[in-house]
Amino acid sequence: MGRRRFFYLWHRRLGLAAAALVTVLAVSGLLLNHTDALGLAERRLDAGWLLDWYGLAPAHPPVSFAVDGRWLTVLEQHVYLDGQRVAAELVEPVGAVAVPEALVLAGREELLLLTRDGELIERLPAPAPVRRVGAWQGRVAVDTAGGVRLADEALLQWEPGAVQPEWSAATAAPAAIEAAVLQAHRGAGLSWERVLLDLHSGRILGSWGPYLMDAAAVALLLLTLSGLHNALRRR
Amino acid sequence: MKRIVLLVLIALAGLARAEDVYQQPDAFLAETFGQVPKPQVLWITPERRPQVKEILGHELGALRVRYWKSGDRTAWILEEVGKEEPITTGVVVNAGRIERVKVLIYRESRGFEVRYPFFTDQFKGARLSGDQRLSQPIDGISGATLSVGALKRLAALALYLHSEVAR
Repeated sequence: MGRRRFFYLWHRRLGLAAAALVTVLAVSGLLLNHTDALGLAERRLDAGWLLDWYGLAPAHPPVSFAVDGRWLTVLEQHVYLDGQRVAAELVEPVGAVAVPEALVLAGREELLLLTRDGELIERLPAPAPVRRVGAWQGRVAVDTAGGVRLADEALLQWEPGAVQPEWSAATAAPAAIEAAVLQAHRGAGLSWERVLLDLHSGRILGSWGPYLMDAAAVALLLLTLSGLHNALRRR
Repeated sequence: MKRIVLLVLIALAGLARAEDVYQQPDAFLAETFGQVPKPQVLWITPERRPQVKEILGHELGALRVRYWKSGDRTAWILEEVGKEEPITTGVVVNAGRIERVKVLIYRESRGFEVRYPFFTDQFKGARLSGDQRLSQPIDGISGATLSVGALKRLAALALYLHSEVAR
């Protein structure tokens, strides 16, 4: 095979092989060159599949409890009060009640005592694994395998209690509250700029992505050289 | 072959355990007092918050702390993060001095040496100095620097909280 045909053939093969990646490189690069004019940093992407890919979509739906006119929600262990994240985490939420001085959010193994502003008063170990939580005459009651346990007013000690409290149950929160929780969970979401940068660098494909884009860049370089060679040879 | 696989899996499961419970808090309190007194709470008021933050290097993250008191002795069950996980520690203070420090639950993957008496015995007799630090030096443990730091902070915190209770 002559040298001219060799370069021509490989120019064509390289071009075909790298076409898709080079297109992504070129288009993303063009757009990123005009980030400010296009407002790419401010415009957000909300596509579920993309958020999944980035690991931003929650694996489980939020669990909400109505308590004293407020909404306590737990999403992936983070706690939210009326859609605002509070500085506490809870595993396996079972219910929430209000007592005179606080809101109480119960998990299977522990209870969170919160002010009505969402500040953590104390994290209490449960007296036994909790199935349900309720309120009885201003006191917190928990339903356990060993029966109902009633806390004193200060929530310092527990005693057996043959009482029938009103038990808390999970309820669907208003759409606005759930939206606020999801928004807080995801942060501000993804900007177009972020996604384009990750496409351009290949990082969107994980740790091997940049090497793929490196290969596309090298292919583009070789295409340039082989193209120049072909053009000069034709003269 | 199946037995070997099973043994390997069991060994790996042991490595992956979530926490080591050396002593349950209830048992620690029973050991400390015999007849465990009723718990009480100390509120972290706006006046106390800066002192607590100076000792821990961060906010406590709770508005009240539970303690048990009998005579001049108080017992505290406190938690502080070593590297990534909280270390649950029992501290007994007697008349303004550390009587005992006991690691109750350890969750880190390394640095567990802090649970041994050769380390925790160093805290005995320590007071709080004017700058909210321990009055005596505590030798560290190679490879457990962060856990050592966490326990020192908890000891200082217990001494401070005891002084607030005793006031």
